[in-house]
Amino acid sequence: MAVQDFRTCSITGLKVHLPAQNLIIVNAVAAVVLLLIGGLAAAGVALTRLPAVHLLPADWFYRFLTLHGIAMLIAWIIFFEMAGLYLGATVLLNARIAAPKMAWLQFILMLVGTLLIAAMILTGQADVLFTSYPPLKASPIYYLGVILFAVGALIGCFVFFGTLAKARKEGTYPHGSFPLVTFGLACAAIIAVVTLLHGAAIYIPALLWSLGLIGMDESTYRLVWWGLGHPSQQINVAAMISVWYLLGTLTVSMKPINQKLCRTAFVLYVLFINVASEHHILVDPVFSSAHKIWNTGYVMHLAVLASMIHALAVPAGIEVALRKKGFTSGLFEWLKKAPWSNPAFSAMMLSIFIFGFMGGITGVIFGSEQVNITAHNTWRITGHFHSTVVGGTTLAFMGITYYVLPLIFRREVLGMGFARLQPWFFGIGTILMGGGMMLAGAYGVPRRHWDIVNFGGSPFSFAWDPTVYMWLGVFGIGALLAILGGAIYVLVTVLTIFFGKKLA
Amino acid sequence: MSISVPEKVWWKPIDKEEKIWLALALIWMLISFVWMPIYHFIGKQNPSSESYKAPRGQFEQLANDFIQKYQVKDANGAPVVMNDIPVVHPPAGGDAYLVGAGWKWTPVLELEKGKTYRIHLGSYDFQHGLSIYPLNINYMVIPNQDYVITVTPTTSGEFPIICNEFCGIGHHTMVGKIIVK
Amino acid sequence: MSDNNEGFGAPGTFAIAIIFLATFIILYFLNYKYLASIWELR
Repeated sequence: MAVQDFRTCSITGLKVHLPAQNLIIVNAVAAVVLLLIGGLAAAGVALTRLPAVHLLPADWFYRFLTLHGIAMLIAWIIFFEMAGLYLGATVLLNARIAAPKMAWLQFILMLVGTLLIAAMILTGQADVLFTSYPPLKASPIYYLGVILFAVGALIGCFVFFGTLAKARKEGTYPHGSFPLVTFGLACAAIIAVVTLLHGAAIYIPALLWSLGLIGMDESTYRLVWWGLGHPSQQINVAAMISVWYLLGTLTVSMKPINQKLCRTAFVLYVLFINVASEHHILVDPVFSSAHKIWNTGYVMHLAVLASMIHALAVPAGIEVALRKKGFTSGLFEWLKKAPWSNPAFSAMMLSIFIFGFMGGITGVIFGSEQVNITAHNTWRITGHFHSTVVGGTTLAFMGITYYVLPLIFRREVLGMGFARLQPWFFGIGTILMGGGMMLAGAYGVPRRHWDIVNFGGSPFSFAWDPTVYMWLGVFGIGALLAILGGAIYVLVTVLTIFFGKKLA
Repeated sequence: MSISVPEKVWWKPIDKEEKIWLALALIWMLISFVWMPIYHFIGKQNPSSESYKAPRGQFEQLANDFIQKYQVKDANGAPVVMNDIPVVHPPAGGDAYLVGAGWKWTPVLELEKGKTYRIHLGSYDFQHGLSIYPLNINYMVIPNQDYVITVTPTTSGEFPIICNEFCGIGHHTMVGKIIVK
Repeated sequence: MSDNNEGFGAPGTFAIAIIFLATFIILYFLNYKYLASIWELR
């Protein structure tokens, strides 16, 4: 009975539990479909923010912006993470998935939640943007959709924990320690549970408030909402770094240089990153400076320390692995002769670079108490989080897809020539887009704004420093390149799933 | 390998280079942390943490009284407006009100260079974001809160202000002005 | 030291990491430098 539940992967020799494989497939497919929807919305938003095009009318611009945020930051990433959790807990541990029915419930709840949210946004019943700050109010069904999605994700996390516990008890792997990738994913899942509880603490009251049953204090909402909003990005950081380690192993047979250091760094994320949510409310009333500095400064910086550890450990592991292949001359021969023609490798390297140099540095700087005065709600912030979540997380997830397709979907990647270019379009596009946003934002260009040229005809309208238009141009070129890269990714993935050569 | 179970004892000493990096990173993190409280003592730009609970009606009353009292009058004694928004000259060193509501910033504040003002920020409707161009100074404006920022303009001229927190369909029309003489 | 420790052996990465740290520190204080040039705010 137990035997035919598994197949043995002919490439890696790992045992794959078939019910788990189906769950990985449905979650990954949902993720890619939502990336497509989010990408279409991104095109609408970007082409509207380019003054030369100014595509959408105001109401549809804000609707597309709401949809873009939800589809990308929530749906694409969390569906993909669910696939990742199931993969990390079953395939890497030779284990069977615990409670597959619950796992299907996770998928269905998240799907229904996503559909409800999208329906509300597209019918104009949730013109509240991603943050839904009260007193802006959406239809109760919108908040219900978010809650269903979150409950689904929470169930997914517990299926993951249950699978780990079961694998350990049944002794499906040699001894007590998980592989590093599974360990990192477990940290991501712990952060996810804490984050989703914050989500319940704010979206359940928001639902009751939109039904007219209770009142809602604006400042309290902001504090608790960001207890969800920021740490949910740290799930992505922990998952992304786990994927870096996974990609390092798959692409160049990298070994972590020091497991103790890597694992300690993951634990630092769990301990400290969840608290550091207040850098979104540094220029808010109500909270004291001491409170803000403690929360965003001390605690966040220990989490940043963890990122700095990984920032050395991952590329160093790659360098050691490549030097072992004989690329030992000088400081950088290993980098020159690295397998750049493997899209998974180039995606990983670009992801590390963009996340570190662009997203990481700017995150700490913009999140400093005083500098935040010159960054809050400007396009600098948008540039920062596109560097982390798009250039970092999304690009890493795209990279791992080039392995998930042959190993889980068992199809040979179609259009490898296009796939090789894809990370470069997407990565360089994100660098230009995020850079353009941050530099225009340094002049005060706001985020979430339909018309920075005429201000909808306001009599007080004014002219920006002309440099701003140059950075807008850089943004535009970058956005179009990134969208092209995203389109190639979706096409390659979908065509491979349907028409790729079947692998044994 | 990152995808296989590690050897039984993986708690091993850290190499020299990694120790150096760890030390450098930790030192830099501690510096950037203590820099924030230090800047409260040595720096002249710090976010305000002075705020009061102020129900919408109460704040509206205070702001209207302020506008009435200090609105600029022309030679004929008629109150001065700019695009229908009253122009107000608060006493140097005193309190001023700036309201983000109805997709407008009210009033147009006329300040004196080098004088210090306590500007009360508030809203009667949605959350707004005050953004002063070209300086790129940004604060949140939240209903039911009276957020007091203490400002000393050190440059003169006309400073457009915009809203950078989404506040509904008229968000992008929300432009106002601060004049520093 | 421990048994069969292969050592760090990644000088290129270490150099890039030092450049990263330098970039970080310079950008951090440049932002404060700009901040010091605007109106006085408390």
